[in-house]
Amino acid sequence: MTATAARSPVVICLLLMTLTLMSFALFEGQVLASLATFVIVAIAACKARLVMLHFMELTHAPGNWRFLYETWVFVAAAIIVIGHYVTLTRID
Amino acid sequence: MDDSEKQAAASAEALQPAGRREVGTEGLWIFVFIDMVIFTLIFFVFMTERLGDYALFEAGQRHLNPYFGVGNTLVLLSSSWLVVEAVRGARAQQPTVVRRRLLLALLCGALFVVSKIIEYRAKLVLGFTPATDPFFSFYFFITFVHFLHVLAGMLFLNSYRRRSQRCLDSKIYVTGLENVGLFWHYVDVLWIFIFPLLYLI
Repeated sequence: MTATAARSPVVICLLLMTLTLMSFALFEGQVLASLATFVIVAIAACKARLVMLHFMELTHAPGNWRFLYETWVFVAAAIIVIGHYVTLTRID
Repeated sequence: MDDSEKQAAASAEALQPAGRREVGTEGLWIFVFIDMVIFTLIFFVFMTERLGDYALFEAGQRHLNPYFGVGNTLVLLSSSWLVVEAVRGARAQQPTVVRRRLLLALLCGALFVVSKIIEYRAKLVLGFTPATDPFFSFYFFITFVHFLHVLAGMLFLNSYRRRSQRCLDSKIYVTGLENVGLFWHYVDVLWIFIFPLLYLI
């Protein structure tokens, strides 16, 4: 309860900041278009993490596998996002 | 605590692995991780090649039908959930639940296989082969390797479906089914990344 109460203002603040950036992105149509890939890959990473934590029961994995698996999700997503934006800068 | 409460507590315990109990065997966690690393390298090579010829990769992607990708994702996610239910059934020693859930999971797997064959056929009929261009080489290579993972997973699921009665007396069966589940969820996780990589970005 205490942890939730302590965390919630931060979560709310992050949510508000995200919404602000989203509305700004909507205003700047081009920004939204280039953000699409980031959002798509971020959603994929969240889905992969959810499957790992709740279906694979990663929290009950032996040893340090949770750390390695979660790192993998981040690395795989980073490769795609960074690769995509580097490609875009080359075209411009 | 009366009998019904005890029974409820026991079945709740069976549904969730107890505090320190580990899921599956370490060997399988290692195997899956190695496979994950191999796929990371494939993703890396794909993005590097795409960097060199973005126009070609973008044009290739426009020939793919994203509805197949979305459909396949939903089918694999449903199938993963069914396997979770089967594993819970095995922990609660309910062979009928295990058998039925695994059968449905297998049907989802079969749906994925059929949809993939239709998709491949459509591409081949239009003249897109692995030799067409680098994008289609990657498309066929990545999706076919994933396809082989799906087939392997289905073989394991079927073998555990046929022996579902053993969840009554064998802890090895339950651990084995957990391992099969891990592999099947991993196949799902892979597709979660392959779908945006090939169809969306």
